[in-house]
Amino acid sequence: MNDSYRRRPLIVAGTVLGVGMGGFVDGILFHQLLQLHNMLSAKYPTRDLPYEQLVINLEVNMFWDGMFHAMTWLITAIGIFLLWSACGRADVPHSTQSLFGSVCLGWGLFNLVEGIVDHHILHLHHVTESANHITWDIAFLASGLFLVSLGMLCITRAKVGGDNEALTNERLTK
Amino acid sequence: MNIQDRNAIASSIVCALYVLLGNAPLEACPYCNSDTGRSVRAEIFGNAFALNLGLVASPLVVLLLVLMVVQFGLRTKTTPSSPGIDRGASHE
Repeated sequence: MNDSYRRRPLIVAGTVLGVGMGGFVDGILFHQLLQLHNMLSAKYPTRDLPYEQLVINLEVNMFWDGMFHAMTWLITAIGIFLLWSACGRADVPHSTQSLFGSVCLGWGLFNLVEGIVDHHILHLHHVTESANHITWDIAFLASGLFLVSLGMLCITRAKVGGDNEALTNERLTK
Repeated sequence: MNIQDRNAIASSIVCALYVLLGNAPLEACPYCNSDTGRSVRAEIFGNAFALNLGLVASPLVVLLLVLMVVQFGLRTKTTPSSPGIDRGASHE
């Protein structure tokens, strides 16, 4: 059986985990710590409004941020389940580099898809809700491309031979 | 169980029911007790709720579909796995 086929369960699990963790990075870093945007901040603006409307829009955005976090939590939970299943299979090599690469791949995919869908197609929010948001939106997509490339590089160059191969063979014979 | 224990349990149940069914949860509800709260509730759970839910979920749904295609769609093009090799999550 070829190596990439044997690693697929691990790669899929890592990619799903990467999508979930990428979502958490977005939510925690951009929505909460830096407060650059919220989930629906282009639809319900949170800048330069009368106080009462500002409070309403902030609370509405907080709700949808919570809904987004709930979904990313669900995806992360699925990733943990898939990783647990993959680790329980004797034919799947425990390749750290493959796992790291697939988490990067998932994170990059999240940035690309979320960036294209939310920032450029649906215009739900932008990385910064300012006049020059396009620069930051493109930088966000670029970070996604970088992470996908890094992930693919790690996955394709991962060494699963040597000790790991011997370990896998030992587990298969048990 | 002596009478004191029974009284303690009964008191606990009454207190719990008071907390659950009394005014405490209502007062903790930020959407219920003020004009602003009611406006927030109207914005969140109004006509746009389903639309907003779909919008928020859309990129994650796209990503899950992509990953499902990778997991299940491409598997048919490669060699099938050995039967019985999957030992599930039994590696405690």
